Amino acid sequence: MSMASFVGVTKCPVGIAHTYMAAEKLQKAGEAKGYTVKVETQGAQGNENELTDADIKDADFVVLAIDVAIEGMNRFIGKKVLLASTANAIKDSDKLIIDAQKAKVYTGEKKSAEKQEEQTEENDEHKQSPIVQQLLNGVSHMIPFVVVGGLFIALATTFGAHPTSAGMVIAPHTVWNAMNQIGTIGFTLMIPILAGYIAYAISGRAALAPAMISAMVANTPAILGTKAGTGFIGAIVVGFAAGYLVKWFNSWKIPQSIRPVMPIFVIPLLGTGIITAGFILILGAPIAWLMTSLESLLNFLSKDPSTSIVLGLVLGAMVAVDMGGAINKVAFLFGVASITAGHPQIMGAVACAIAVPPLSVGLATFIRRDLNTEEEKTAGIAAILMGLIGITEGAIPFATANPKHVFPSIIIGSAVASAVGMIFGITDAVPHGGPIVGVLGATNNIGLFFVAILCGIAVSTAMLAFFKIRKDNKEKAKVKAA
Amino acid sequence: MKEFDLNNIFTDVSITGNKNDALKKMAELFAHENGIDAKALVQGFEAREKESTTGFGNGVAIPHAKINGLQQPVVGIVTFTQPIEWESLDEEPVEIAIALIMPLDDPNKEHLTVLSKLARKLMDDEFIKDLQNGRHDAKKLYEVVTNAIEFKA
Repeated sequence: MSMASFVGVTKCPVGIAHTYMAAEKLQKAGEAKGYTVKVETQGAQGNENELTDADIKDADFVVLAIDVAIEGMNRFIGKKVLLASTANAIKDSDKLIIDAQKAKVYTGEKKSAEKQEEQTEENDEHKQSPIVQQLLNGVSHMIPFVVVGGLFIALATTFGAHPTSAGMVIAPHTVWNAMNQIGTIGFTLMIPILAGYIAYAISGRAALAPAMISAMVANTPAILGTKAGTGFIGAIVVGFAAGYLVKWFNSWKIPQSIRPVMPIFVIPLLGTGIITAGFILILGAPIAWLMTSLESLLNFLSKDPSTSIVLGLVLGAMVAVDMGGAINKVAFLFGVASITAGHPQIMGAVACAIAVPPLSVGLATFIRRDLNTEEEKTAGIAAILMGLIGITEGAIPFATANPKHVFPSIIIGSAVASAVGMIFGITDAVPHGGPIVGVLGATNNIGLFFVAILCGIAVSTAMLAFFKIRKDNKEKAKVKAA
Repeated sequence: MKEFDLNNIFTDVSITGNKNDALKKMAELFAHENGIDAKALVQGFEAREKESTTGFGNGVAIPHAKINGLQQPVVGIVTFTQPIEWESLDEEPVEIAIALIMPLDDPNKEHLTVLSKLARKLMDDEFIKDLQNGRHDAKKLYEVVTNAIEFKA
């Protein structure tokens, strides 16, 4: 997983000067570029600042600035390793860092050049593309926030909330109210963490502030001039935009004298300014326009009872497409309006879809469980609990990590759930979704409400399982062919 | 005797000749001041330079040598009136040479730690600038180095 860090080893013949000069230079050059750097020195005083397995695992590449053979070469098998001299590092560490990004993977065996090349290519094939790695870095940092936020809200809602026409209300000054607020903070932080760590994976520490601040801006309707923030999709856009913008800043030729203030002052200010301005000035209006257009579409569809199935499909798809973002908000608010207007079947249809994404991604981790990572298994259980309480956001980590498979599955499944809900004429008098509103008696028919949800889940889960198993088969075929 | 003191700083030394002449002159100066065999010292310097140049750029070089029977390391500085061609990494001639002379088998790791700190400090542009500014003034050089690194007696 890419964390914008590298490790190095330095060693010179005598072990008193060049070993340390090279280490210092690598450290400084790397940090100026925003990397986390650790350099082991194998000098006359023995090995210092020794690299741990975790250091090496997290490193994007390895720079060896050595004039004589070093101890522990085997540690670097499978990593990109650049071999250079201490003089190279002292003279131009910047160049070593650039070259090392493209260095060959060290195999640990002395092979002919041709064989080595083959091996490198093979390794590359199994590796994820850098964009996926960057995305996953954001997801893995976000998951704990989603889990804590989601479960706190779920527990607070289950035990402390009572359904009202204004939503699930939790009495103030109770422990449940505090828990709900804590959970909400977790959910609020999820957005900047996702954006921040995508950007961090691209260009290091200097990108963190622009990405995190801009993600908050993109999720704050009052600043954006829209009715809703852009949710996690906005956070992904911000993360990549900030990451690559800062990467570009880092490529500038900067006079030595102001280089130290670049990552702590110039880059954060400039990056935050540009990205937030872009969101407010360029994207604010189109997002507001999109929301209004979708609202008109829903209004149009709801006028004619013969299009109620289409309306259901559209509502369900909208709930799943950005899970808590602007489009989801339009569908949700349209449902809320229907309660106020006295025909709550639109809210009923929305409520059927709300639980489908988290319940499906969670249940799918139990099919061919061996194909899931530990991270996915944990997030899956949390997602199921969130789904039961009607918290769509539980599916976000899955959708972000694997958009190609998860989005089609949950969008189609949610659309089915809402359409079935429409056919059954489910109503929901509480602006909230998921099985919990049925249990609390807010729907007109709990049995049919559950059937609608299960239809959606069946479709989504089947699609997720199909994609997962097909991917595994493809990989197996590839291994056999090779 | 300390690892680093004013007696081992020689400013504006005039050398006629090349890097080897400079190394020879340095060896003489430090041998005399610290009771080291000048021949062994110059051989040590030259052997190290043969492996790779110690001129790391910015007009500074760090010739070093290990000497049998030496009690503790000696750090000394020589500045030259005329820059010396040193085959440096940046191909610039050398105006300041910082000599590191070490015992062959030094059981005391603290000595080495001090030297490694000095080596790291040489990668600091500000430190190099201060050295360059003080290269005609032994007291100033002593201050610059001792401010940056704590030597132990």
